Amino acid sequence: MKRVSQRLGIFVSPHPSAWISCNSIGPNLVKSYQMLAKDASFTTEWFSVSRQEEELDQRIGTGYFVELAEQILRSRVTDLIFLDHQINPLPILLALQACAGQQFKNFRFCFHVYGDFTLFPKRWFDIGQVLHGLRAKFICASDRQQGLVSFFERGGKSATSVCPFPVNTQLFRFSEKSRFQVRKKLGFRENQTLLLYTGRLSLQKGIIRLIEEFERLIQLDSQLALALAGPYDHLGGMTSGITAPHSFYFHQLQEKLDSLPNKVRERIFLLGELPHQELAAVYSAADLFVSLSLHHDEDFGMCPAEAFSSGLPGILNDWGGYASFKSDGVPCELVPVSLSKRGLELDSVVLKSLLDAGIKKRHGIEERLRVGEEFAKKFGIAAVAEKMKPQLLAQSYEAIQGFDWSLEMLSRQGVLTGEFYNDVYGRYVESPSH
Amino acid sequence: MSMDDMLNLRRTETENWLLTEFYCNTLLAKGDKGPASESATGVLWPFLNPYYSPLNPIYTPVYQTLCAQGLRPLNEKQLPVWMLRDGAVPLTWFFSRHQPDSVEGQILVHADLQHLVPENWAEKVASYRHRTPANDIESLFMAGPVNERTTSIDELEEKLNSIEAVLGKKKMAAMSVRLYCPMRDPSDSYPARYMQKIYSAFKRVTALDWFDVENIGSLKNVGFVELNSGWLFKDSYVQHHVLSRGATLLVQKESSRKKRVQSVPLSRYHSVDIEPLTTRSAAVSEKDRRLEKFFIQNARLRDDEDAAWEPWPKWHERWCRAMLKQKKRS
Repeated sequence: MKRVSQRLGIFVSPHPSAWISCNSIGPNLVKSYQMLAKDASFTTEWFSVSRQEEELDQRIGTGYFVELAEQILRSRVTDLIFLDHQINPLPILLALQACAGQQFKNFRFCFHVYGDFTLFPKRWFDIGQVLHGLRAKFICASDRQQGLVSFFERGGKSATSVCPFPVNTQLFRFSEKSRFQVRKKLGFRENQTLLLYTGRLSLQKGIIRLIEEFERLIQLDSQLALALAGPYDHLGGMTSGITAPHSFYFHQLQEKLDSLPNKVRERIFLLGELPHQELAAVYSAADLFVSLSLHHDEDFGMCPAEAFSSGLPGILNDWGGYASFKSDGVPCELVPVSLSKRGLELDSVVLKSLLDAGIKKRHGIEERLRVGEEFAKKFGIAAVAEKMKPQLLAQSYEAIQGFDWSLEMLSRQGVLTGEFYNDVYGRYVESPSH
Repeated sequence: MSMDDMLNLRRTETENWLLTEFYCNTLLAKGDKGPASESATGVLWPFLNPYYSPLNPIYTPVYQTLCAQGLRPLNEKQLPVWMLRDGAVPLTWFFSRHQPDSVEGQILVHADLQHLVPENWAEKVASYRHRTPANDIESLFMAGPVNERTTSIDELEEKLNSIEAVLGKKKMAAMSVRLYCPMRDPSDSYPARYMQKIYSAFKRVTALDWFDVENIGSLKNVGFVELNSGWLFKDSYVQHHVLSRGATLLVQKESSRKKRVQSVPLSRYHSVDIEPLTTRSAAVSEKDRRLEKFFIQNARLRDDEDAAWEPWPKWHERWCRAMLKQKKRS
């Protein structure tokens, strides 16, 4: 019997993302879809959506989205896949609804949801309205992100599923040569332990807490070092309405570093924002990855993922997407996080004991290669393509009911507070029950 | 409970974040909207946006507002310094309206404008100049609000010549350029003529919007050129942002190492050198009648809604130019 293939219309943005991790996630997801296209079940059609064209259309009505909708119809795609967080699917859906008429209900719609879900509640609420009763699904990158998104779903069966973001495991893999070169450049001997944090240097990433812990740890091992690789940002905490001006966090961190005794300060290395190749080498040079992030967009954790791909052991907060690594068998330890009316709090006792143990235990070369290979089997580009395949098959789609009033309420409220905050972000500290 | 107990209270991470916000708000000059009216701020957005530094970067009208509101302008956690971001016009205005004893702390003015500081202010004022890493330049980033109040085509030609002097003709022609030039007042052919000059000087130009600029990645090995005459502002938010991403000021005047007093970081990559004044103006300190008349007339015009779109009247700009020319000659 001849197999009918689904024709996937995939929407991508030509622009680099504002979020560093998304500049890895987007291209990696594209590669996973390119692999899927080799499968007999799928063919693909790619659509590039320009932000400037979108803005111009919204301002003066250039007809950009109508033209795009007509292109979609001409291409005879059966499924619309939104994999890039920079694209607002709403004007595309509305234009397609207008152009396709009754045919609109024949499409299947798939959205890769990112950590910025709660930053655009109105958009997602409206998408839910437009697609009410149609076949759609929302793919989240971790169990807890699924818990958060499904919290806002309207009754019935959840339209969410989980598939991790793919990691470029070819680039981020342990290299003995890179380890030697980077450590030589930083002036380390092989027996010295290097702790590493990568990602934005930002208020909610817990950098100052990490430095305070390091200050304590160096009393136990004076040869210990800490490397921080990433750019400063001035985001504050958007979800909580916490704002900070440009460069404030730089000075706050600088003040912290300046207050340290010399013997501690000189063991902390600020590496700045590194290109991927250099970052990969730094992961090889390090011995333990630590992230105490409580960032509200931590739906997955691309930086820890790249660290694990390089065979590094890790200590992470039990927060958001970070928890999925542990449950997927990655060798990492989690620091419990609690959520009370006073806010988010780390379990300091567990954190200390994990760090104390973490700096004593180091992976050898073979162990690191083994961990990296195991990781690639679950999170590599090919592995993720395999995981996505059953989620994209036509029979896996069901009619959705959209999102409920609480998402609409969030869009009006802007900033999450009180019990509502705990209801939503409680999903980031506990595993979903379903 | 003692103060020590209060400070040692165990706090949740959320409480730490909120404290950070509280702390930075107490340090920030509130209502920093730039040196002119709301509409002028709109024309120059985001060049006049505030940023944080212990040197208290500020525009003088905000400082005046703070004083008028009876707020204590300095916070004990900060250095007793005001780093004035103003260009020549608001700076002359400020010095003509205030006496040195009315200002708490030291004033820093941009080194290019130090000749505008009156004699009687000399002890209270030092100069600052931005310092960036001396990296190889592989591409350029140019930014400035394109309107006649802030830029001129003659100056652009001078800037292009100075770029050529730094890079050489061949390298300059091959350079790729990222350009951020918001045009909010395209009422005549000026912006078109201005942009035509840029596009004819470089073959590979990519125009960016603010979203692109704000979210730009590392700018190591990128030379920055600001298209700003310095009449209205001298230290812009866009320049601060771009330099904080690692860009190098392409035309960088060196501070004299002998005289440099202090270098204060503004970001991971760039800093300001602070040094004593080397030249001062006699002209402004004379406070002649003509100047006083100009300022009074200026103040009246600024209150006029019809003229509000224009940050400063053109005659004031002409007067400043004439004054500077006169000084150069002398």
